[in-house]
Amino acid sequence: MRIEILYPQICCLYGDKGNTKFLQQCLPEAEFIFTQLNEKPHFLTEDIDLCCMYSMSEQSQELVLDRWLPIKDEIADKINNSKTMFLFLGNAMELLGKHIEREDESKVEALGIFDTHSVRHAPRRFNTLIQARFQDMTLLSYTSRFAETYGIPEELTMAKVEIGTGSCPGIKNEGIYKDNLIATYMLGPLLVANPDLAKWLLRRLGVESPELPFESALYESYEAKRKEFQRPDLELE
Amino acid sequence: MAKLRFLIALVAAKLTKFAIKLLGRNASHNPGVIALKICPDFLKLAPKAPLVICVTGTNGKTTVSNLLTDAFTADGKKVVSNRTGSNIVPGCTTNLINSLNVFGKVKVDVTVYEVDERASRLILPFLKPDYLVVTNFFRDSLKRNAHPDYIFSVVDTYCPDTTKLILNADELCSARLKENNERVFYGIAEMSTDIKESINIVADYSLCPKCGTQLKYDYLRYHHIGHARCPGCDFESKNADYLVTKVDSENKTFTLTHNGKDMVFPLINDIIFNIYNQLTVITTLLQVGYTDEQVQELVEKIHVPDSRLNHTEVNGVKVTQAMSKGQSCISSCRTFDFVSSQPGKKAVVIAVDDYYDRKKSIEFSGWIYDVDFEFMTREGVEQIICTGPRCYDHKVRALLAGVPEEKIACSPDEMAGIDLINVDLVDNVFILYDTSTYNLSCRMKDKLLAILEASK
Repeated sequence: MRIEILYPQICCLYGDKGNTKFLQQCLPEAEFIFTQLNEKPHFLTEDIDLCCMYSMSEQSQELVLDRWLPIKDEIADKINNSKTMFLFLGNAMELLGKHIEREDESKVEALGIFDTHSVRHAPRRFNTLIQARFQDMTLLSYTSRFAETYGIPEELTMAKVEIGTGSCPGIKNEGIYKDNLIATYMLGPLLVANPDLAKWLLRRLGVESPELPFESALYESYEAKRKEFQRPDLELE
Repeated sequence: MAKLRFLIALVAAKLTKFAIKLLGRNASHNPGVIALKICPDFLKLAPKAPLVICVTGTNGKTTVSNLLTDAFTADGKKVVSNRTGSNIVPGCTTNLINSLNVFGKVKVDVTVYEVDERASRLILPFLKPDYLVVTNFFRDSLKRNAHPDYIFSVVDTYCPDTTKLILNADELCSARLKENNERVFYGIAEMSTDIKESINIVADYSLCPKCGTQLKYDYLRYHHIGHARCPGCDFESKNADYLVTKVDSENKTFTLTHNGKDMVFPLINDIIFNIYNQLTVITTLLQVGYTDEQVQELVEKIHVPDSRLNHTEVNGVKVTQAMSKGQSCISSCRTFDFVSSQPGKKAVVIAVDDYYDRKKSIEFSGWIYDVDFEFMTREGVEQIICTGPRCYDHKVRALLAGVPEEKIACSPDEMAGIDLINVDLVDNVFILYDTSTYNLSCRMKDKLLAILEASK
């Protein structure tokens, strides 16, 4: 199995690297490819089973898009038509839409794979705990960001938010799930914090009966947090 | 009209301060709140001291501000600073109020402001400091500070063009601030403990800001602190105008080279971040016009309060409280590195869960995946006791780092966690605490000391 981690030097905020380290322990035989910013992504030309891209600064979003826009058709083709799974966390999701609107209302062109757009609101920071349903799983996570993403159609919504807010204000729809792509504002060590999601992903990658390292500790942590989410006075920020 | 409003605000703030002081409380915040309510332009309208210095950055700004204030005081200058108050707008406004008499006239020679880096956008444009001293930009609270690129953009946008910057040449982010302003740089030359490749999980700014190529380090101290150059273009770290060329821990001195001239200073504290703090202070004092000899005399008179570490030894077991600032991965990494490399057999009690988040919320524990728990696999770390509401998350993080499960204990209740320490197994116990859990860590320490006393 081959797993590509895109631009780990800059797409690695908020403990995202925990996912990579966890996947390395889940899949000790897998080959991990860490792609540098000035390299062409390997998933464009090689067989890659899973491609991960994590949160980045707004400045880094623009650095990535500078490199991606000249090859955006190739990228779109692979995301839409290849067998590679894609996992985009945090504001990596914003790169997939038509554009990102800066605070001064100027626009940064994005890949345009989906008919969505994002709007930045710095210095206003949006923070919230998230409990959301994805497939038959309850995901527990967090988001912290400057932007909102608008226009995700119902049929492409990844998860239904039960506690917290979705991809834009007043919306309970969170993220994008289409074929082999998951893109969500949920961030940090999402796979470690949600062992069921980790197993689901491993099954999608062809692992028949996935076993996780220190599984009982993972579920102990998950269950403790799930109880905390049920507090009636829970403050989300 | 604006001037009248300013004077009314000043008088009201002074009266507020007087009333709060009568109650025996520290009037370091509310006078500023009152002044700003009456006169929102207070920071802009108030006269400023002949010398205004702002200090900002992720780590070290409190120490640097306090040392600067102490040095000016030791020189007989009239100086005020916000050392007892907040470093956001109301605290800085109170500091400004303290620099004025009731008629609005400046009554001090120097005002030193510790400025929260995120709040600097609301402070720097109005204070228009003569000097902005920046310690470093690292990752800090995700909720408040987002990421260092954001903090950089805030300070770079809002620092006035007329301000002279005193910057850390060894820190690649803040060293790029305000490239068209007058700037001087301080730094520490290669040390025997430096490395070439990062061993930390978090190593921001490892790509060239000009061309995106992976940087090569001539030497790397920790995270992204060091001296780098780009193999793909002409970019390299700034050269320090004030460079520490030799640290003599034995004789407690260090040598600072400036314009080809060596100056030897007493070393206040040989922990690396305190050497940076001291260097920052010395550079600032030299910049504002003190001579080498004057600075050497002043440095003799100032002290670094080592509030981050304190030790007590009972019955052969040394108990140390060590600050490991929660939600700040760099602060915690430094502490994890220090603690795990101490000699002897150690138990490490982690009590860093945010005191406020636990009351009604759930702390996002993603930041602990940016902390080098891997240091806890070093020889001599016999036990890790994860405590607090996030103890199970810490346990998972330690397991992911490779700490054997039998070495990890968990207790959601911090005080009960003390009972899990195997005091027969270790000769050092470190209690790691967050700024919000210091008092709790004191109670934990007292409980442990009582257990050790009873076992005599």
